[in-house]
Amino acid sequence: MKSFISKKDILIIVASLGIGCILLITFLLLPTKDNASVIVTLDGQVIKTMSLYSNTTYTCQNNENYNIIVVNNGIVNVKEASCKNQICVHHFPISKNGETIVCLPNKLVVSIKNENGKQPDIVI
Amino acid sequence: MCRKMSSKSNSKIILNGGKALKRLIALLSILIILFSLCGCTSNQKDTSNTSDTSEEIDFQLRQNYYTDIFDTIFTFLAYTDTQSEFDELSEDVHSFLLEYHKLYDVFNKYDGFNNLRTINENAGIQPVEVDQKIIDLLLFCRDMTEKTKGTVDVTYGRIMSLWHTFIKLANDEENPIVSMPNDIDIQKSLKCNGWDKIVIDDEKNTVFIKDSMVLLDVGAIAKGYAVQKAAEYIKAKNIPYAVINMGGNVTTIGGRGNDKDDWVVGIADPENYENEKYMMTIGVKDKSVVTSGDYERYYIADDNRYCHIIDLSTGYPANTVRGVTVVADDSGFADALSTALFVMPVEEGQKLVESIDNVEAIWILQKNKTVMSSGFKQYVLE
Repeated sequence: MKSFISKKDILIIVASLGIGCILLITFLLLPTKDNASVIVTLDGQVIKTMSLYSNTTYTCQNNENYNIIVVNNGIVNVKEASCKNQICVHHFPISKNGETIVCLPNKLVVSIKNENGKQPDIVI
Repeated sequence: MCRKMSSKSNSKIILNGGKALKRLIALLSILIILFSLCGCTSNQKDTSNTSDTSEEIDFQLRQNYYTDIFDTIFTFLAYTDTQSEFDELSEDVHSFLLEYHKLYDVFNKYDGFNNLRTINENAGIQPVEVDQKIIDLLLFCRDMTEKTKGTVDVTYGRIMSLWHTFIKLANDEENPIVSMPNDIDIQKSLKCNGWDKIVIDDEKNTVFIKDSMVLLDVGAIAKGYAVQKAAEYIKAKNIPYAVINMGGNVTTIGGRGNDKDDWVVGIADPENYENEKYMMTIGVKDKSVVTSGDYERYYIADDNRYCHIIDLSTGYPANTVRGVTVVADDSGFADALSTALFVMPVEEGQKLVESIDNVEAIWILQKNKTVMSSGFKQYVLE
């Protein structure tokens, strides 16, 4: 008996749906692009935003004041600075959401923003 | 972003008239359905133009930091559609708080208007006309003295100023001097206090300190009070999700990016404060969180820690606990209460918290032992 849809048709339909679903699930399970960024503010103005995963050295120069910020392998630190107390240079390297390095004399704040996960937005 | 699906090879399907065509159509329709599902799950970025800017609309969390307000670091977080909208909002909130900072400043004077320093300078001399914001703050402070049973009292400026000086000397970057004020000075300064000496005229908008030895120090309340006003300001602008952190005075508006998720606040580990280590996290939405601790402004002499929060019954810095965190609706109240709980014996503090609705607290004792109020657990994440 000739039917509109034969067994072979059903096989193809199921097969392609199956492959499609596998691809879809794989796509959904892939980690979404990590939105982590390094934000540099100077005297209350955001002057630079970089991806936490970029490997860059950024020098913030403000008249005679400067801070050299290094982003490397998801870790950020201040390599060198013009300030007298050098607190920013001695600060531990930051890598997690909400962590900051502050250079008060130069009015500079380097922070990390990463919306993924349960890391605190602030620590008090 | 949707990745290209590999095209299905059609070479296996033998083109054989109608049946093959049917199969092809079925296959194509399935692929189309899957592609559209794929599209629905990807993050759509709308780059349509709005008004005069062709800025990408991307509702996300943005942040900014200021170092010129209330002698601390002011962090502002908010979800906005564009960076320029955030920049404008951020500067707006900053200006708003800067005005409060100047009015409540006891150290500096500013051209053109009187502030708290002016009031202190005229103690024993004359009433000083001030902005309504100062009147409102002081009335709030007076109420807080009552609510905390005298533990928090901004009229004790003289003893607080004495300790501030010694803490500052000990922490001087160039030439630190570690020493103790002598007990006679402490007891003398301690006596200079009292709301009975403060005349607040809500109609003429004047404040008069009748006794020349009495000083006002609003440090325990001003930050929280100003932050509360800023929160109301932001809400009035219909900003749905934002956070203000004024050096430990946190207020949250809405949730983290939506009406469901909590903002995550870490409670600092007093033993490890310099490394920004936290001992637990709490989740809050539309709440204020304030911490009072002994690990920010202090100095150590003879193995004893002297922090900036003074026990007004002894004249010496409190050292009952290492820190207290309060969760409440009003930021000013949370600020005053966290200071009070830091000073009071823990049992007394617990009774006080249990007697007030919608307030919870956690006390961090020596060696990071903790005590929580009955409802605090609901906030704890880990």
